[in-house]
Amino acid sequence: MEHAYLGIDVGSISTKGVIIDKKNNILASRYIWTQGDPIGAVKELVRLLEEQFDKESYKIVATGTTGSARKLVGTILGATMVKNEITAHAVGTTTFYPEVRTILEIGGQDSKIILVENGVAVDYAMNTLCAAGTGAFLSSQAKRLGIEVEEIGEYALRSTHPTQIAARCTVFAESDLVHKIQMGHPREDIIAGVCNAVAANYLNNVGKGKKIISPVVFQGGVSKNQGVVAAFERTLGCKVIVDPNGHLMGALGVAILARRGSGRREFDFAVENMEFRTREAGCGGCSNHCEIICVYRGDELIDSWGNRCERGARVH
Amino acid sequence: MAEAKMRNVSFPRYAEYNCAFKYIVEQALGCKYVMPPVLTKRTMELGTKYSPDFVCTPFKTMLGSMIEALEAGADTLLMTHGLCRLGYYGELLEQILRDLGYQFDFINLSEYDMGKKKEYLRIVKRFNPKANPARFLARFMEGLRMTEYVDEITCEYYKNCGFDATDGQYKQAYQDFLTAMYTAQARADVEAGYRAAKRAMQSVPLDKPQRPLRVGIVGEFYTAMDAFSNLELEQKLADMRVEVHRWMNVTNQFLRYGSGQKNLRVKIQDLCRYDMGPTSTANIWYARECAERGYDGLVHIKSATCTPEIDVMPVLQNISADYKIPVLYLTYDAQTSDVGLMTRLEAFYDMIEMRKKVL
Amino acid sequence: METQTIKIGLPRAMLYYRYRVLWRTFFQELGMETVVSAATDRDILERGTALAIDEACLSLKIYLGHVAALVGQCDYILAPRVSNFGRHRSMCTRFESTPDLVGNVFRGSGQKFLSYEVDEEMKKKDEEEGFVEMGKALGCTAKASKKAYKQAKKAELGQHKERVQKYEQQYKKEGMKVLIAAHSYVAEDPYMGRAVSDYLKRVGVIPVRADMVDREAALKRGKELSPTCKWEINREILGGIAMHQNDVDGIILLSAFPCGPDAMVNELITRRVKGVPMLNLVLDSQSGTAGVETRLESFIDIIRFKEGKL
Repeated sequence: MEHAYLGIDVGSISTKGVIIDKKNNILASRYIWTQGDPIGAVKELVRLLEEQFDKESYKIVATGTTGSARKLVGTILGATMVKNEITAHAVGTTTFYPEVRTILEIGGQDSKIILVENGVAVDYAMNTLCAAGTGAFLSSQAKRLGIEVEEIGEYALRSTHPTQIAARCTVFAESDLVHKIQMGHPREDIIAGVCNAVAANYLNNVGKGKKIISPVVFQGGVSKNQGVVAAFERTLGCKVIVDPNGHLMGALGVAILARRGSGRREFDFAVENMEFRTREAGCGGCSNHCEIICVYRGDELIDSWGNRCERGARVH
Repeated sequence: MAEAKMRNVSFPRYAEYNCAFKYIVEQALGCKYVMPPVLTKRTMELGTKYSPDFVCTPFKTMLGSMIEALEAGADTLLMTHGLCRLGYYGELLEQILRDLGYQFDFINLSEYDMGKKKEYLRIVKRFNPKANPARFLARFMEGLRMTEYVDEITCEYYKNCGFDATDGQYKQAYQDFLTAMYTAQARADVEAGYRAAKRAMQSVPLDKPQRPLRVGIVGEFYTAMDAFSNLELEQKLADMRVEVHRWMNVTNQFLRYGSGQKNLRVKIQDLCRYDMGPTSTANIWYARECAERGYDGLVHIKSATCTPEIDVMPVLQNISADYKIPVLYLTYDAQTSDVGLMTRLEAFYDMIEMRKKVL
Repeated sequence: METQTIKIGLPRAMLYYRYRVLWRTFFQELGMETVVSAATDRDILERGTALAIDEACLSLKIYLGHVAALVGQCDYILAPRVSNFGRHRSMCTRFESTPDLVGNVFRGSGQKFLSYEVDEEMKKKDEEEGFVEMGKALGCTAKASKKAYKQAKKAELGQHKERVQKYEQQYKKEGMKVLIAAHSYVAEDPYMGRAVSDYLKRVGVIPVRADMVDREAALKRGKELSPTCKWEINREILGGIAMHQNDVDGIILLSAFPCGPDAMVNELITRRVKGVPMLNLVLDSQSGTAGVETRLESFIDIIRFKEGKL
């Protein structure tokens, strides 16, 4: 039986999973919405992956998790590798694009840039404070304009005179947008304006002071948006590569990291039928009131985290 | 104050310096010191609620800490002067607290001309009319000595604690040292605590590779040094087995370079000709120093809207480009969750670690 | 001396609005030519935004856009370091960092920058000394530089006095008056505060300016309102408010996001100045003025309502 490796990326908006063989070929992959329930999403994802997976020829010997819920999901799945999404993306992308020099990534709430030299990440930056210009911003603006997120790109490409939208911060951008709507700008021009603003905001914030060298790979949920891709290409003056599997890059990266890692543990698809729950226990030790997350399988406590201090040990 | 009633003095929480404030207030000024409670989420909530929106975060932290100090029995609050917005903290903090209805005496160093020696005596007399200037000076110097010890031991601690080969003896030694400083009442206590800490820390076996990962910390004077405010960044990095180096502290900034940092500027003349703000010269000098020493990365820490540190960033970007040293830029607002920080730090660690293997 | 005259670039932003006469006269007196960047437009704002650290204030973004517009157009671009005029008379640290900030942002552009330094508190260096040093760096004698500075200072003070008198006349006029409390580079920039005064005029309100007062008197009055206010320009504005709060129907505290000194001083003003309607207006890089106009309209309505005129 051949060895296979599972990688799961649980983000705030979507949950992605892949199973690869030892040559990094994709054996199964799925992409679903997280909908605020990472545990439910992962169980569903595992069920969907199982449908595609050839259990007769392969067995999963290592599992990696990444994304904002990596720890929780890692506990539930018994992961052998838990990695942050920046590293996972860098590893995934450099595996498939060994020549890449710049990785742009815009996800649901985070955006980041990774600079690569000789296949190794040498510098990176992430959005500082606010979520302006991220996927969450795009979807809230789409809602305001009464269209689906998936339609944004299509609308944007139809525009010939994109509207100027100030996108320095979500609050300012929204009020600006409302005015543009009320002033009667056509919808496709406003949408194209929003896409331009996302690209401009990204380059002014995350990309500031970073030398963007081609080849450039763009990924994350927002890379599905043709309007933003076009805006990047126009501003950077070079081709921007969007991999059809770009949304899976984090999951792929962490599957590769799991393969490279030393941990081995056969994955059991039965998790999809197990009952997991989390409980938030407020620590009363001090007025930090740390929210401690306890994870249970059935009634058994399998892990807990979230306490930030050991201050009880100090006199002052 | 003509009556003999002893003042209950407080100064907001600031890194691990409150032991020295306490020592100076009690031993040098002959007042009682009210230790403000350790900074928590509640402190930040209080501070944020009553602060103007885009004031820098230390203002919010200090406002929260002052409210908690008043609740803990302080009747006299002290606020320092400063070269950036810090110099205006005092007046606005006092106004906000008075508008909230708190009653207290406020000693704001910005009201005094700190360039004049005579003014210091006036300040001392305001705390305690019966204070003896000679005695004050002697014990004040002891308080400064304590500050230097705190800085030296803290610096040592973050350099090595990630490589503790025991189950936490190194950290224990550091905690014991702080306890000794927070309870010291005389010079002998300070000296004994310092010596004990040196001995204890030297005796802990370390498991450090020949060439560990080394990261330099630069940034804004409050947030870069206050562990609560930077969400314990230094401890988090150290726990990943990184040597954490920070030059910026009270000793280096004020006690050793009180009369200006002319000699630090010599080495960075090609990058900047003047002081760009209160800590720019030291930060730029140290960032280049770390780059030249071949450190694996730099972390730049500032609170949101900190003007001087925003202005230092283009210089750091140039240093980063010249020496190919990655810089992680972190902006801290009044948030108390460290989820985002962990992601960034883990990725930073992975990157400098993988880079080191290749380069 | 070369036959070609030296050309000095003046970015139309930040301290230009305070010192344009001083700068222009000084260089002209020394036989040099000055070139000023064009009025702020979207292109300048966008170029500046691309160059500035994202978290920097709108005023700096606009400033860097103006510097970029002058690169390659002149021998030197003026970027002074104005730190302070003594104790409690500081400028925002951004004016302290300006020469090194532009030096680093425009590194590799080949452009030469020119600076003068004013730092009375730490270095005992006043404006005159700074200008004489700058003149010498440009190859002029100390004597000629000093003379040019004296001329320039006289012209600057004369122009300010004239403007103050013009505003004094405004107070005597009939009609609703609103005091704009802002740094001059915010109040007068077409992409920032100009929209505010234009709007007020359009709806028949007389705009007056808190900083258009006798500076020395304003510094004194400002100290009464906020004894430890350390920023020169904010103290002048505070003084202007103290001098004129009873002559106006409302006050607009106008600042550029996220101005450091204004964030604190304007908070203090709203807590200490009572009895006159006040609007705290923060400007960001909005491409339209509609949002601002809505807020101004409702503010004027509030004043009219209070005065029983609505």
